[in-house]
Amino acid sequence: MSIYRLFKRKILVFSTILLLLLSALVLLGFLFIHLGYGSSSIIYEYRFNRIMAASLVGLILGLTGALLQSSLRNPLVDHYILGIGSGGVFAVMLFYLVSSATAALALLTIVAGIGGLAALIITIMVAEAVGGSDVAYVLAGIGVNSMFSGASLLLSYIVASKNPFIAYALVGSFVAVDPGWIPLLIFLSILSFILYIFTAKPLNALLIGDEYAAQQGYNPRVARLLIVLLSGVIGASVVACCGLIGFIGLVSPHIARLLLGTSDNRMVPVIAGIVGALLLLLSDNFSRLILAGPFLVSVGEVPAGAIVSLFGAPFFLSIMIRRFRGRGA
Amino acid sequence: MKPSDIVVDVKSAGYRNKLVFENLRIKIPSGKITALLGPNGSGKTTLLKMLFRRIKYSGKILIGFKELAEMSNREIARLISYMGEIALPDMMGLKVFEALLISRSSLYRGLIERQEDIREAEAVLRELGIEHLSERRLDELSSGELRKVVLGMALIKHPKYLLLDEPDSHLDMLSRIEISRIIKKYSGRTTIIIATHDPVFAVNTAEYFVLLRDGRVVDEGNLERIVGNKSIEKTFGVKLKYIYEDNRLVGIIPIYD
Repeated sequence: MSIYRLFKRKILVFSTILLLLLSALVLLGFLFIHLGYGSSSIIYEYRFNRIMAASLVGLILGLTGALLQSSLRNPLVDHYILGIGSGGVFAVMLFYLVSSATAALALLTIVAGIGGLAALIITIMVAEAVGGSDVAYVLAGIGVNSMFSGASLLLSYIVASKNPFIAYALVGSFVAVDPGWIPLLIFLSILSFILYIFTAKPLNALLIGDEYAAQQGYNPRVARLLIVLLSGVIGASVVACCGLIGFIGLVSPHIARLLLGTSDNRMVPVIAGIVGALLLLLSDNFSRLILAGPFLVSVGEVPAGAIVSLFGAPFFLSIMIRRFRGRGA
Repeated sequence: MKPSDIVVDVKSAGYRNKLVFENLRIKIPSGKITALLGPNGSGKTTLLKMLFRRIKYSGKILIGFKELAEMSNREIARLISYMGEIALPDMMGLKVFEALLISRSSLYRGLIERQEDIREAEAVLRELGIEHLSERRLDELSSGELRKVVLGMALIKHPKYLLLDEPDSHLDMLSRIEISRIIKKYSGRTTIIIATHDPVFAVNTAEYFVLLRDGRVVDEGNLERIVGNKSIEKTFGVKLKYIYEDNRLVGIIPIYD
């Protein structure tokens, strides 16, 4: 018995380590701003909101990314690859175009969720029409992604007069953080955590196979579709806050599986969530420091989404190479 | 009829555009190993899948006096284990021990397995003689090793009914014999149904036989009956030579002419 590490112990060890890292990072974030600009309570509040927002978005994207990968049984997907995020951004842009007033964030979130859902449904339909393989999903996602991000880019020029920060939605940034984001992101985090609790066991059965899941008492098609749609919509909703952030949902589950040495869905989504929070917070800190801050005198900053893509995209390519090298495909 | 027999009385069953069974009546005795023997496409897998409601049917299926249609998913999951081919390239690195624990997940509520489940997993590994595979990834196993693990995943729930879809496929001779030996160990405790198209594996493993061809029952009964009736020949449409050793049927050879 002693050679098998138990679920409880494993997850406890890793979440403690990662949470410690996360708090160190939070501390570092505060420290940097202190060094750079001196301490003002306004700046502290801004910093706090920004750190919270980046961690929570990372948590949501990492967790739901793990659920997406497991339910589609496809390690190559996340919100960005499947075009869900772009669908959300497009819906937000469209909403700004037709509505004159500045909308409430909650309403925008719902709009983004609907946009993401629409994009996801298109991707699934196209991918399933051509056989539903893992590559089919990636290719269908690229198509849907390009379509929506192209349209969003176009709209962003028109909408910019109504919301000067709207261009950030295309790349994903925490510059325009607002205190109103925090309760919304906490709500979405709780939603994704509830989704994880109810789907961990069926996802494990689905991992082994559809027939097997059916025999364990789950309807594989219904369960899969439900989990994909729910995790897709939750992931898409966050673009209403910080815009489109790719690759966090793709990379975090891989790191979690690597750390845990397993793909057990009772552990992977939680650790993927914490890893996602860490990665995005790190990227956001980095995005602030690379141009501004104590190192350089220039003003302005790089969007966090750009930093994430910079590291995430090569990672995605390496996963793809590893996956297909053995197959000869 | 014993209280835990399986009684199939189905008017029709099949897939959306293909009817597999019409007026199918079979009784499968409890506590024994039954072989569903027939050529490819005879309906063996469909019949197995009907027994845990994976395939829609009209008519009646009684599992131990209980109507299958009235049982809950959870009840079926606890009572019945089905094992067929499992999809490997998509496993994303699941290990043998984890796969065994996952197979017990319908037996406990909540996310965390109990000590008891871990003990069961270890017991199954011992019983199948695959303790050394425990920390290996499923996608790194040979097909013989994988078959044993899959069998372990079915056995770990201690199901009352064990449905095995071609447990002998893609196996070398020794592995077939080992699998057969393991299955026979569970006879008496469990009602086991094996779908196979290999008569040699069937006669050396099972005690009761249901012979299927094109969705119809050619014959059913014990070994003497199906050999006496020349039912295996009728089922597969070939001539056969039977080999006996110490009055026991040990081999069946198809005659090529």
